Amino acid sequence: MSRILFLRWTAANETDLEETLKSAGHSVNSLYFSSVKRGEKPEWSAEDAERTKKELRQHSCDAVFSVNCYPVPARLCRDFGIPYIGWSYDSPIGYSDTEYFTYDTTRLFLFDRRECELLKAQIPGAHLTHLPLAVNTERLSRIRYTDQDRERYHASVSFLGQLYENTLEDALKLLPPYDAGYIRALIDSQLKIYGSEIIYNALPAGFIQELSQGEFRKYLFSLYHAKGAKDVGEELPPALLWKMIMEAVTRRERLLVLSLLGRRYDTVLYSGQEHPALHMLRQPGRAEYLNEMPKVFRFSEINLNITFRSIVSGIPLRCLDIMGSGGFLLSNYQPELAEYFQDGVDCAIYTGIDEAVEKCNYYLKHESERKRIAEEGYRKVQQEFRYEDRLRKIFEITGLRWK
Amino acid sequence: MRLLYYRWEAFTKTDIEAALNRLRIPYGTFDRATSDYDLEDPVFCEQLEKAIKKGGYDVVFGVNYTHKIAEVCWRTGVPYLSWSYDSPMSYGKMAYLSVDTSHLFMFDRAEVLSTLQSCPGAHIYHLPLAVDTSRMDRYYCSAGERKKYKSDISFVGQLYSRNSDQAINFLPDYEKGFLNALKDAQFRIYGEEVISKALSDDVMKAVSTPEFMKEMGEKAIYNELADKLPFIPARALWVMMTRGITRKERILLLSLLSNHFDTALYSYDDHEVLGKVRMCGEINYTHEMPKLFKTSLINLNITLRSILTGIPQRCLDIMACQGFLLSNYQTELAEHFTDGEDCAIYTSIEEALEKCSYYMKHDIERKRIAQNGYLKVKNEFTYDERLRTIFETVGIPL
Repeated sequence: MSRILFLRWTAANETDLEETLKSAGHSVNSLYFSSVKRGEKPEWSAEDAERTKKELRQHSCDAVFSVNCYPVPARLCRDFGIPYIGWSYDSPIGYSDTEYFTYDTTRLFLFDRRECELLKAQIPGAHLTHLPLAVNTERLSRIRYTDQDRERYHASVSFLGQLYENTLEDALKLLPPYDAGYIRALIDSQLKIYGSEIIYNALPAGFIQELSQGEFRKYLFSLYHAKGAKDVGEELPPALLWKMIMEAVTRRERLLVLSLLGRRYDTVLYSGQEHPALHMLRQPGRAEYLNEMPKVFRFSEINLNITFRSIVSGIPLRCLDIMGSGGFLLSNYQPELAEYFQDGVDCAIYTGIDEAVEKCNYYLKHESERKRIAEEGYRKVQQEFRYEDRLRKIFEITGLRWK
Repeated sequence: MRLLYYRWEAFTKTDIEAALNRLRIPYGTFDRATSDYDLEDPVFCEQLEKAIKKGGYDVVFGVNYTHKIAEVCWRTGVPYLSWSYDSPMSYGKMAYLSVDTSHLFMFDRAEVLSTLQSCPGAHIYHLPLAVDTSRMDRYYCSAGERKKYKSDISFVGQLYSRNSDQAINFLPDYEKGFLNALKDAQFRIYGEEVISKALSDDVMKAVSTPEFMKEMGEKAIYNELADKLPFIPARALWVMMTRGITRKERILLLSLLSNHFDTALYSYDDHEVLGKVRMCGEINYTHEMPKLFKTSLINLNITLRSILTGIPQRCLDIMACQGFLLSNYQTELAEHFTDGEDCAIYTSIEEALEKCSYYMKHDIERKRIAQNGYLKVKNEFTYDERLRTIFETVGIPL
């Protein structure tokens, strides 16, 4: 039995991770943090660091675990000589501080293989392992579905996700025309290409520094730092611009697909904000991860996944959630998705916006085929995307005993 | 079968005729030239029709599709078999691509697919190129020639200094930035086509400013339909940009390599200075180039970027001469050949330099790879096999 200190910031899969660890007989001590900023520059406050240190001093543990990877806990673990395990479900995981990747105590697991390979090549000695995500079909199968649920959550097409209102495309008008045209072209071309990322190498060296002037810099800075932070003129990382471009591409794709579908079919968008541009969709607000989302997935005829484009090769958690709930998945092409799953067998995959609409049209008309595919998808994730198998591997690589 | 071979000045005419002879296909020839730039050439068409009727030919064969021939063949009801080694093809009147008598064999698979999209139901097939190793085997270098062609690295090809994309500088800033971004993105990527996807109708309207159109017209870049269109066709712009990228890649790579190795460029484009590259001027394709490939230690292929997936003739020529080939990644090249076994493939300029350094130091391995490449093209890229495939596909018994 291992004692795990679980540093939590309410990532969607934390409950399932805890449940699996406990089922396997390990003890889990959870510490909750709210000040950790997701995605952009991770800001682990001094107070958070203190709490963690105190916890490590007072209660011995065999490993510290977090969803996504952070330098502060990694450093504390190095000092205490305890393994630090980070398993990502966002990609990219963080831009600047990567020194902690190479600590003896650090073991990081990234769900995006391309990111993993790139980082391994850039940081020799980094303890990185590619590890696809998982889904807890045991928990999902225990959920009771009622007729009311069916009525409430039924739709032809459902999509859960954000539409990123405050985006780069709006900020382009703050740039000189040459730079605005430059970035626009990168967005336009990446939008049409699935399975490879073309922006990173296209951005000239020093481009972000060049752009980081005046109003545009203010815009970039506000994305990167917490509100109220003072701009001392630091160099912003190129990866920030890259991520903003990917966000703009994602937004465009989601808007296009949803508005095309929304005009034809009963389409629902579950999102934190309401989007006036998508007025033809039903927008009931957010769907809660543990109990509501499975109902959406099960009772929608088609569930869309439109991957955030900064995830270059990996299978997003959303895909597994959908299939694990018995839902039919229609997803954009992701290299790893196409490795484990097959279009038309256990899910549907599109490589262009027209194809997405075509496949919706087809599968809405072919109910039994759709149901068969959803069943296959469920079977596949139930067998090959289990939390237990993943955690077992994590433990093995970290040098802990699973059972 | 009585075949009329439209001989034209194709590089490969000798090899094709040799194959026709080996296959015992009786043929006549038609050698009248016609310019790609002329949409109409009534005298040519009249002469061709006369020749077909006079000779009683029941099939016409030519390298590179010529719409005028397609038109005549359609009128006379005679199948026209064409096998292209340029990409993209200049189509002229695309309508004749779709007629029953036209059969087009293209070496670039991606182009086959995109052309079929514009002309569904047309007889368009994928057929990689070929090379005649027995002809290449007959060239021996004298001591003087060995000295003349000796080099660490050689490259035969154009630099597109005239038809490049300087015209982009005539655009307003936004459009200039837009197109340069597409070029920069495409430059670093092999095996995926990036530019054309972003050249929407809106974009083409925006770039078709009077200055830019004038500039492109002057460079005869979209000569086929110039003056007749309100906007530059996306394809014409794309072709121009791919030339620009090719130029950049060739110049950068050759200059970089010349700092480390004795690098020779054979090109009629020889008025530029590229680092320490030895500018050797033009070289005769049929009689001299094979000798170069047999002598130079490493032979480069840097594909014209408008060839999307296909294996350029250059690659086959090099390997047929038992030359060591270092090529940029091309999808079909990687399908038929293996990096490190029968050729070497690079996916970035840095990797090209690395591989040159490596193979310059590893003679035995380099020679082994060259030998493997030679055996592969000798066995799998023959004219005989290709011609058989062409006739079989069209349903003409040999």
